[in-house]
Amino acid sequence: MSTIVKTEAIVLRSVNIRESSKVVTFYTRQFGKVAGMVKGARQSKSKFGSSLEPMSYVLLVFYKKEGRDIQTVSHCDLMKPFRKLYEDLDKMAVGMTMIELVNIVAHEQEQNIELFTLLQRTLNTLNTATHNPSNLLYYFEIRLAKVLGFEPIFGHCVSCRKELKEVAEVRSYKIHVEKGGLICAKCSAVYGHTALLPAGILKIFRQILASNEMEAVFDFEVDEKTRNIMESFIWTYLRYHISGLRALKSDQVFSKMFAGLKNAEGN
Amino acid sequence: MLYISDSLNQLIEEFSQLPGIGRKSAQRLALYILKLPKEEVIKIAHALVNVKEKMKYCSVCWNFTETDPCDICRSAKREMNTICVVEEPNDVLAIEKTHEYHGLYHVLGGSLSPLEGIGPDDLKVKELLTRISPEIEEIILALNPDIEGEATTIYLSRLLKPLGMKVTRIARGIPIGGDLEFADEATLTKALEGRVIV
Repeated sequence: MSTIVKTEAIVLRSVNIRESSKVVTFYTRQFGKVAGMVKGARQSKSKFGSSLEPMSYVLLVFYKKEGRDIQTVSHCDLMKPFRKLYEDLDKMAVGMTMIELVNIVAHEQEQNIELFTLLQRTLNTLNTATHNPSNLLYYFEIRLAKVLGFEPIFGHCVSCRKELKEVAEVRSYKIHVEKGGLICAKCSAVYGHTALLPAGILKIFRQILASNEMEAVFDFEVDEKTRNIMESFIWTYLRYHISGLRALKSDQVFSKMFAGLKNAEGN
Repeated sequence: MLYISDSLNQLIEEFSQLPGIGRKSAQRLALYILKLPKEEVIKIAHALVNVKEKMKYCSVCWNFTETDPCDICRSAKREMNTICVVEEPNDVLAIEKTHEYHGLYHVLGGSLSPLEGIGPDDLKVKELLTRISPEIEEIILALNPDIEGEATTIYLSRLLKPLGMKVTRIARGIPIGGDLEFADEATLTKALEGRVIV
């Protein structure tokens, strides 16, 4: 017995099958990750239009049947078009990295409203970003860790819980990835440390976790070296805490594309 | 126990490998073949082997062809200063059916698909760049209006623009015979942006 249900959703992936159909993976507000069959989606007069493109924010109506891997989609309407995500390669790269990550970490039909809200809000903000759109990826990844229940601890030592304030003369802080955050000098003598985080980056991460103002991340001006350190730290952290997290395909493809463009445009 | 002979089963298996053909359709096709006169079946088998043996990729535009370079690339009637970039050989057929385009083609063999891990090295992008000469005045990007097509269009336009020729893309909007009421906001916006004076 199937029931017809309606929910907000973000399109994570869209795969063509048969002559004109698609199997679309949605991250829904109510039911978590849902795969749906959309018949006739690729016909030029299809009623679904652009609503099935990855990163679309949609209102989804589908026939929900328990025990079925692929549900049948009845309607899918754009809630709000994120046009800039399809027109700007930098924004597209950030957005696609986010949806690929969610597709990996989210479970079938397991509701997580916080994760849905984070993804929807971040894509919306990315759409309107005027500068430094890639900074938003750090916000998303740090917040993702929080939503999934392993928020990095940047306020106190993960072992003895001693508060660790920023000190002007300290240039980098010790991190214990396995324990989940900062580790003080005394505890690191016992447990060791797995990474060193420059003070400037720690400040950015603390601001990201403390503030709900997503737009503030666009004001961080970070050079390529700092960017690499941030990416490396976040990725090491996520990979340790999320089992089965593989290197992202979108990340690899966009890296190649940007390298080719840098060469061609002489930047 | 359901009995199907090995030869019939093998044919069903082979048909079900084809795109868009499920087990039931494959079974239907196999039984249709079985009912055909032997000469008809041999004709089909020959046609299959023939197409595989004779057809190859054109070393210039990467379309399917029996002769290399293909008829379009060799034709003196085609406009040699324009290249239309498409994803698949099917798209060449679709554009040729319009009888409105008289330039050359370049078949990429797909589109950039970051989520599927398909990057520039998996497409005939380098081959397109080697075709660029001072004689080429315009490159038309005729890629599908989906996210993969968009990524490819933006990428190619940024690669090609520094080389000095005009880079254009085909228009997007409401299909003929479609209904404005059912068009989504993104499609309507593109249609409004691409409006022309009548």
